[in-house]
Amino acid sequence: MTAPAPMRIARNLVADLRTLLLWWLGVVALVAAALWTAAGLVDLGEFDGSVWEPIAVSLRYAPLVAGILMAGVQLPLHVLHGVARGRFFTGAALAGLAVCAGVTVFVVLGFAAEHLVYGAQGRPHVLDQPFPLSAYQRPDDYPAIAAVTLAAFAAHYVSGWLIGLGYLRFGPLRATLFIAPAALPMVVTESSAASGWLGIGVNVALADGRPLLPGGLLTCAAVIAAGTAAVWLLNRDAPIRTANLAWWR
Amino acid sequence: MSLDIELTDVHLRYGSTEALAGLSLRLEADTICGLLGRNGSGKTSLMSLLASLRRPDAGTVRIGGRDPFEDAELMSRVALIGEGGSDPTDNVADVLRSAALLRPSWDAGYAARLLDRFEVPRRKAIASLSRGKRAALGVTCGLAARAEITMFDETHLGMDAPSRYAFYDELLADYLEHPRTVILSTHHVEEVASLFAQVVIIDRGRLLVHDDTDEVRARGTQVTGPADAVDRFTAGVTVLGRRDLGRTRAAALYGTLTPERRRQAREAGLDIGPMPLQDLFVHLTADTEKEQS
Repeated sequence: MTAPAPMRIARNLVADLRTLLLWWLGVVALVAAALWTAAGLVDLGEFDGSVWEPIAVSLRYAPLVAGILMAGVQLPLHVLHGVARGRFFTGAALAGLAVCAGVTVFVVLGFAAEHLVYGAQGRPHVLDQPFPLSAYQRPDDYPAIAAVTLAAFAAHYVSGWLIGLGYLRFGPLRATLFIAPAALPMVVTESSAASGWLGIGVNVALADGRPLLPGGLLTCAAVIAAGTAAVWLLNRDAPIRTANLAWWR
Repeated sequence: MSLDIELTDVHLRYGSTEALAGLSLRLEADTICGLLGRNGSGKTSLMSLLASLRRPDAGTVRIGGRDPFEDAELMSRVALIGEGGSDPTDNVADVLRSAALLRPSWDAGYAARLLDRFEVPRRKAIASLSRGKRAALGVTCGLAARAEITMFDETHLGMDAPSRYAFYDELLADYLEHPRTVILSTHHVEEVASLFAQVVIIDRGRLLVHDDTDEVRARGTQVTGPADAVDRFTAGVTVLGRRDLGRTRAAALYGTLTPERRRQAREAGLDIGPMPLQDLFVHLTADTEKEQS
C-alpha cells in the first residue's frame, strides 16, 4: 500500500476545478464571440482595439479563485483523505501549473482567433496603448503574450493560495490584514510585467517608460517563487479544524 | 505492520478551552472500539489527532510506533469520516472519483454496492442530498476506503433506523472479511454496543474507562422484578436509575453482585442481568452533567 503520489493529487484537483473553469472559459468565449460578431455587423469607424485583451485580463481571477480554494476547501478535504500536507503542496502546485498553462493557451488562442476575425473584417488588429501586454508586444507576438499571461496567472494563483491559507491559519481579522502581503505576488507581477489593470497605472506613472520583457519576467519569477515558499511554510503544518469540514452540515 | 495506537499524556487546547487534558490511551490493532463521551468531551479532538488534522500541544501520538503527522505513508492508512468531508458543490460521482484517486485501498465495487443499498443517487450534488443520504455517502467512503484505522465520528447520526442497522451489518461483515481497527463515536450507545469489542469513555479530555465491552458491562448490574421486591433488594445500595413498566421495575446498580447477593435476588424472584452500556455511560459521566447544569 502506498500513499497517493503528487501527480494523482494534481489529477484530482484539476478534475475538481474543471467544471468551474469550463463554465468560466465558456462564458468568456461566448462574450468574445458576440462582441467580434457585433464588430463585424456595426460600423465602428476607426475602432481597431482588441476586444479579447480586457477579457484575457479578467481571466486571471479564475486562478486567483482556484488558489483560494486550494487552502479553503481542498487542503482540509485531502488531509481528511489521508494525504500529507507536503504531498498536497506538490500536487496543488502541479495542478496550479496545469490550470495556469491551460488558461494561458486559451488566452493565446483567443488572440489568434481575434487576429483572424479582424483580418476577415478588413480591420487592423492592435493592442491599446498603454494597455496590458501592448507595452512591448504586438497582438500576434504569441510567445511573449503567453509568457506574460502565464506569469500573471501563476502569480494570481499563488496569491489566492496565500489568502486562503491566511484564513485557514490566522482567523478572520488577522487573515484580512494578511491579504495585503498575500497580494504582493500578483501586484508585483502586474507591475513588473506592465500587464493587467495595475500595469496601466504603472505605465502611466512611468510616462510610458516601459520595462523590458526579460527583466519584467525575471521579477515575476522571483516574486512567484517567494510566494510559493511562503505557501509551503504556511501549508506544512496547517491545523485543520473539524469546523472546516462541516460547513454544510 | 500492526497499527497499534498509543497516546501518552496528550494535551490539546482551542484558545481557553482544554479539549484534551493529559489523555493517555493504548488501543491494540484490529478491534472495533466504541468511543463514548458527552458533547465536548474530546472525542473529535482525539480522532483529529489520529487523523493528523493537527498536532497535540503536548504529549505524543503514535500509530504503529510512528508519529502520524506528515508521515505520508501512515496517513494514507488512516481514515476519519465525519459529517462534513466533501465539497458541497461536488456530486456523488466526484466524491467517489476523489476517493478512488487518493485512497490506496479503495474498493470501487464495494462502494457501488453500498450506495445501491443506501439508495444514494450518483448524479446529485452533495448540497442537495438529505442529511441521511450525506451520512450514507460518508459511511460508504469510510467502509470502501478499507483504511487500516477507520474512524466514524457520529457519521451515521443523520441516517434513519433501517439505514443505521444496514450500516452496522455492513460494518461487521466487512470487518470480519477485512479486519482493521474501527473507532466508532456515537450517541446511539445501546444500538451499536454489540459491535464493540472494547469501549473507551472519555470525559472532559481525560480517559475515564478503557476496557473490553464485557468487562465494562460487568461494572453494573440490572435487577428486574416486582417493584416492591426490587426496592427491598436495592435498599442501602447505590441505584443509578429506575425504570417502571406497570408493576415491574428495573433498577440499575453500580458494581458487581456477590454470589450470595445473586442467590438472594433469585430467591426474591428477581432477574439479574448486565447493565445497559448506555446507563453505565450516563452514570459515569453524570458529574459533567451536574457541572454543566
